Amino acid sequence: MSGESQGQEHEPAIEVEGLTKLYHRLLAVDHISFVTYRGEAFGFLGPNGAGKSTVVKILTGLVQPTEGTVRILGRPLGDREVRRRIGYLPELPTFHRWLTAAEFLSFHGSLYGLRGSLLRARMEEVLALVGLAGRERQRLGTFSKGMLQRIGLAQALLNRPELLIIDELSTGLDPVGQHDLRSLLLDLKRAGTSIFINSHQLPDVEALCDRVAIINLGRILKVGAPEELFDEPLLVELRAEPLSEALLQRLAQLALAVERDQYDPGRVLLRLQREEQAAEVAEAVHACGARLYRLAPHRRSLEQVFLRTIELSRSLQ
Amino acid sequence: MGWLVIARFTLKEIVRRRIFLAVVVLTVLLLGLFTLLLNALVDNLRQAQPENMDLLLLGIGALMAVLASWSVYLQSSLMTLLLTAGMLSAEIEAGTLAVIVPKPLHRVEIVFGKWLAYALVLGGYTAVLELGFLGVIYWKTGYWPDGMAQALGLLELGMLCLLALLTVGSASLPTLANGAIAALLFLATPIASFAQVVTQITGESTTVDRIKTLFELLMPSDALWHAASAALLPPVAQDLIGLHQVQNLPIIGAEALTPAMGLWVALYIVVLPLLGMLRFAHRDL
Repeated sequence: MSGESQGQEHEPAIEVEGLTKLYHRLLAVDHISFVTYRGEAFGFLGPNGAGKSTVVKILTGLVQPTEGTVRILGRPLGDREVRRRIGYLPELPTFHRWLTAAEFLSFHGSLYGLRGSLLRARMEEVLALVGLAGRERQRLGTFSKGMLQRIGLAQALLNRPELLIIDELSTGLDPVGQHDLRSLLLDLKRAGTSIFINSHQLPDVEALCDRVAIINLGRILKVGAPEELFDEPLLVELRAEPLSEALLQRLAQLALAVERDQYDPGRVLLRLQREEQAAEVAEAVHACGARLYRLAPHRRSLEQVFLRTIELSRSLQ
Repeated sequence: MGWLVIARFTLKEIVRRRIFLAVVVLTVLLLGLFTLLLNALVDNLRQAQPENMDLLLLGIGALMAVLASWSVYLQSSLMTLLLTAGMLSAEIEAGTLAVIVPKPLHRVEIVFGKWLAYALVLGGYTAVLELGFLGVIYWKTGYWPDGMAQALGLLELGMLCLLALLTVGSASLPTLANGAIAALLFLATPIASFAQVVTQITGESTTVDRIKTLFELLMPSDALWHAASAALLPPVAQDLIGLHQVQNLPIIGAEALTPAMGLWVALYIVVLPLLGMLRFAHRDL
């Protein structure tokens, strides 16, 4: 990361305060507030209809907010100069099918104010970045879903954006394509590009994001680094032989809960209050004459945290 | 200069759309057929060797000029309707604007760029078609209307009125609803005009006059066409047809545009696209 971008690290990229969107009688976004920072990849996670796309549409000027303030790269929403510094890839990109890839990029480059040799150079560069080099003359009407996603990302990168807003990255991409695009986005993040990604593809968010917000029914339920979202007692997987009654009783004294694996008699899950208690577990295993084969933190995946958070919010309705 | 990029892009899009190509091909065919028809008609006349052949040819030329210009008016209006009913709404429905609107340009520029491109193409189309027909008529009959420039201007204004209505409709309504409303208004005005002709013969009716005026205010194209028709026909021909007694027949008219209507048309052409820009600038996509 350059010195300049290091200096910008704690400057906000997106500042949202009390954002609300009411579609007639439907409250799509309900007084949400959050800040993302320069150089950060921020993920917005939520089920369908949670209000994610509405937030993205407000950020990109497609939808007007009913209430609240939004500042992007330090300027108010809709500022033309800020738009010059943003790239946007919509969900299910639908483009003018009669255009060739080169015509499409040339049009969008012109909208960014790029001209002549600079535009041509950027077009070549972004086509290579998204893996579509050599497809310049191919019509978008003949592109597969994955290729449309790639050319969509290419147009979003034409202006070397300081902030890249993505509404669902992996739609239509095969596993190789997903991997390639995640790698590309990680490279962009390393180069200092701020990324806002809206997704229900948890692997995208998990692989890319420094922080994640979980949203449901128009409200933000949790915000934090993916590791911070595991704000629950540590779950430890223990494998030892033999798992005697004495050992199980000792473990029950140490742990908040002990859960035996009904399919694997040598395996238990322990819910511990503190990480340091793991050493005490190891000592107890040895003290009971058992052999320790495995003692490892068993973390919930982001998907489990996400589902649990959504379930919890539904039960509170 | 985002509007210029949008205008260039829209021009390219119009040319690439098959509907435009189809209409151009049909228009060339129509012009060719019209030339053959007129040629046959004049040949027939020459073979009959009537007296006052030159005067007869001028009369046929004048009548043909009005009928051909009426077909230009219809074709130009049809093209306007087909090409621009979905000017914005079709793109909103397809989602293609989702990557254009977030770019560094004002939404007003998108509407203006598109409006400009369509106005240029349809204006050019109307002019080429009208001059093509009148050229053929001049070649075969020697008739060239004195008020040709005025008539062409009025035809262009008629097209711009329809374009203005479709622009504001396209910024607010779905494509089908916009096209249906514009078509309805476009067709209702000549019907009201025809009803007025009937009442001019059977006796004055202020109700019919008022309804016709209301329709003309909602869609001034028909009033503009009648004024164009008056500019194409010399006064002597209008007297011969008896137009001065009834002012307007369903197709042919002797009524010049009143200053009040002229002002209304100017406002219509300017204000409706501005309303379309305002609506599009503030709507959710």
